[in-house]
Amino acid sequence: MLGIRTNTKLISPKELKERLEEKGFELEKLDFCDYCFKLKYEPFSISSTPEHLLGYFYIQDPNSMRPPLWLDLKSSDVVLDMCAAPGGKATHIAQFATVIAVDINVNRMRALKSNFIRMKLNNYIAYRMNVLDFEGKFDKILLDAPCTGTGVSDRKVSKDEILSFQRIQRKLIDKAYELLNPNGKLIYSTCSTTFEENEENMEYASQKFDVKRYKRFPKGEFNGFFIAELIKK
Amino acid sequence: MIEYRVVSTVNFPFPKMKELINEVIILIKGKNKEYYDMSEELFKLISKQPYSAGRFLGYYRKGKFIPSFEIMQEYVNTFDTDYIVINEKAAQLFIYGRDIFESSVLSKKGEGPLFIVCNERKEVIGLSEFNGKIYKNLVDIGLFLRKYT
Repeated sequence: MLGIRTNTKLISPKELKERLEEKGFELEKLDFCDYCFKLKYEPFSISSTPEHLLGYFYIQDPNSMRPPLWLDLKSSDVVLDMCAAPGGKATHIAQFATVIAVDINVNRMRALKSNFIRMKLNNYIAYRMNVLDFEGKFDKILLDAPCTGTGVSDRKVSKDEILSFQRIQRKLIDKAYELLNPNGKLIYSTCSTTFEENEENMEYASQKFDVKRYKRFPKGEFNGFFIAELIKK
Repeated sequence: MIEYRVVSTVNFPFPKMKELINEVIILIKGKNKEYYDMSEELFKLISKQPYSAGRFLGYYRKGKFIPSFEIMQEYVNTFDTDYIVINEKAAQLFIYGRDIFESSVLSKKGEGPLFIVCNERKEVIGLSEFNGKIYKNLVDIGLFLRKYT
């Protein structure tokens, strides 16, 4: 089931809900985010509504709304989003803090730019590049890592594919370590349900980080998801 | 090749629009010349050529500057001129790229021929040019839907 996240910079959740309900959409507030809704019924595609085109909300799986919440954002924060495109989580961060959004994929970066412009969110800088070549220092980083996506689809994935993603994820975790200030916070997430891409990576990360907490959100009403909070030692 | 540099002027279609722009403007050269402005604080964070950054001001298309919807909304809110308000049915058609008949215009402010197009809630949904008969669609918010989904 899809959800929508209100762009609180432009409209209140109450007004957005009223406007969409007038058009026949049925929304239910999510229990973990008071400006986010489950989309229970759509009489036509919600992406074609003027409210969407005006940037009043972002359409995404409800569990994808969680990682930015784990960042405990403040307006003075400058957050690095390491694999940012197409911008679902980066635009979420930008509603509350400044975000540096990095991604290498050109088509997805076009979509990221378009999402920022559509939502009229201005406190961001986007770089199209390999984040492994990125330099800087941050107190907060979001790493929504490339993964097998087994929390989203039911396709069969081979052990080789899982381990291939694990290698990429570990490179990115190492890079996040390099980019973080001491005691800096890394939020790691995947939309995968495999042990190798999640708990095993936390075991790997624990050599350099305090793994403060992690949680698995099983696939059900929403996509399967894994989120962890790590603090640089 | 994407480049950025600080520039001082942009040829806005409505001269007063310049009053809404921050001092720091960057130009990003890609397929189109795109302009963004930003606060000094954000500008100081730029460490290399960005793909995009800050508030989108607009872009050049065939030699004409097309302002962003955000700047057009701020312009309408601030100066209350150079816009038309159209009825709901026409607004629905307009965001799918259609032109506007004069009979759909509920109110008009300014001399034209360029008019920012607003729906009945005075939300900016695009830009048009009046040719004496119809308001030609120059750009509308449906572009996002047609281009990226």
